[in-house]
Amino acid sequence: MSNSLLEPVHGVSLYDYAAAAAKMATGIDQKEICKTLGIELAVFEEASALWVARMQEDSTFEVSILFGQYFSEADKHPKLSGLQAQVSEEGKANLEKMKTDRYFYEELNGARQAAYDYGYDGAQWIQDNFGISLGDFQSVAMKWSEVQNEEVRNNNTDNVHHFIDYQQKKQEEYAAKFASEQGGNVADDVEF
Amino acid sequence: MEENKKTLSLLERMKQKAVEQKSYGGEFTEEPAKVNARTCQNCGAGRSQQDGLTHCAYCGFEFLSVKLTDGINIKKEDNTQNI
Amino acid sequence: MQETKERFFTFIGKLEDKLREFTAASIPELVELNNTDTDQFKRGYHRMKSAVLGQLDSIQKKALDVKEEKITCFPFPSDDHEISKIYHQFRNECYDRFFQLDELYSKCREEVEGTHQEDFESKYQKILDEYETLKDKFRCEQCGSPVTIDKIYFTTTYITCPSCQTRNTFEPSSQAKMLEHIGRSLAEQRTSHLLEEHDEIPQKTQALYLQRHEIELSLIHESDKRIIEQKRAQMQELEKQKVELESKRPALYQTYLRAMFDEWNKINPALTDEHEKFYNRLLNDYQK
Repeated sequence: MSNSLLEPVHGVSLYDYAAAAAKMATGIDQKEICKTLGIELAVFEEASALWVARMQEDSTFEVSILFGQYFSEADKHPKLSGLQAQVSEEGKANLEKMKTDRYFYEELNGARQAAYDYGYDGAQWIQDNFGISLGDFQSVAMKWSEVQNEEVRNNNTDNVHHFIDYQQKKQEEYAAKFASEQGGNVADDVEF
Repeated sequence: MEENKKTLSLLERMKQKAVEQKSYGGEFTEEPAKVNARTCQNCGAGRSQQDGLTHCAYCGFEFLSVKLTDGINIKKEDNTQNI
Repeated sequence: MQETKERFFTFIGKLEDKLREFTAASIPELVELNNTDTDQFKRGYHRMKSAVLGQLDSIQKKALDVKEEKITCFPFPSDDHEISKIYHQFRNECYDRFFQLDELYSKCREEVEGTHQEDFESKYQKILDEYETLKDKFRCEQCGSPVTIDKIYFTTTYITCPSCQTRNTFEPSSQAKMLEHIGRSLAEQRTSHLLEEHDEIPQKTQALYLQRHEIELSLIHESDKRIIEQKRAQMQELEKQKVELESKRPALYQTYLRAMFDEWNKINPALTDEHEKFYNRLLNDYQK
């Protein structure tokens, strides 16, 4: 390993730590995670604190970038992949669609932002309406952001703009819906 | 005056929505500090300072399936020796 | 065009009234909620703030949309030079009017954001107080002898019983587990005046530059040699002050950073080595 900052802490690798964080964000209990990794809370908490410190120390951002990558690959983790939170059939189908259909992903992204703008907890709103947990949402978001970065690198900005516009359009649609639910926006009566 | 009332009732509704809805991850419960001690689930022995943390000194049962490094309070020396 | 301009100005004026009125009405509500929200992360307050900012956004967006539709896309025969000139004048005036609203919008957002206050001192004090009450409270799970918690722990750890040598597991309370996190915020809060000193320098050097520039301009019509000399000396002095200030800037940053990390180390000494590495990284990044 070339970067000493990537060496495991108490045998807890960056992949272990990132996958654990992803699993906890889907609602899996910390105790379950420790048991599956064969460690106790004391070991896990020290490792977590020290992984955060490693990210802070690292001016190349290599540790943070890898963390993001591993976070989105939690379902391939040799030990932790087996831990699955309770997800409804509808949630499973939506999650699958979000992974494969970029339009659907952008729609949910726009909807989530609109929800925050109208005073909803966006993460909870997505959970309630689409059955997707925050952890799963973030994992998929990281994958799509890699796709987008790749497009930027290849100068495929048309595609990038196409999806940004689509997200914007969807966000406006959801915003209009939320606005009517709360009895309109504050400046609705001001007309040109 | 009319204007003002409208703004206030909108704010009132916004506030109600903000306060009453469920937060993601649910209510946060403050957990107090606690102490417990783990005994070997195989032979019932306790874990003592000189035996290290990773294995049972009597039957070799594995408490922790990792090799401890120098962390914050837990150190390399806490790996069970002689197993 | 004249009519559109007048209507646009009136429209923007009304939206500005809305911005002011809505911001003024929401601030006391937000302040109250910030104080009364008992949630650990004040999530109710954050949702409300987000909704208020969302409304400010909706006002700004309305202005932006109308600006695009009625001003940017104002139809006029582009082959007519005279009309084209008038249009650009009209467009600039309307854009300026929009920018006034945009500035007010930013100011309103800042005011709303400013309602967020977190009292890190009292959160830290609670951890200290808690430690005093629990340090001698526990007994060994194995033999019942007293086990002292020798310092504030922010991660779960093993504590050896002095009588029977059993390793007891001590798990800190949820608030104590936040020590590292609260520590940084508190350290930043306690040393923010030092960061401000550093951040103010560009503004100060700009002021010195302007002062110097004004003297320079006044020299153009000056013929009195004595006065010219006097003014030149003044200019030199101002330049010297400016250079001095600029050269102090990196040292001021380092002073701030050192003080901040010293505070953080004091609050959570267990991670001093890690903090120092972080300190070095930030300092290196700054010097790059």
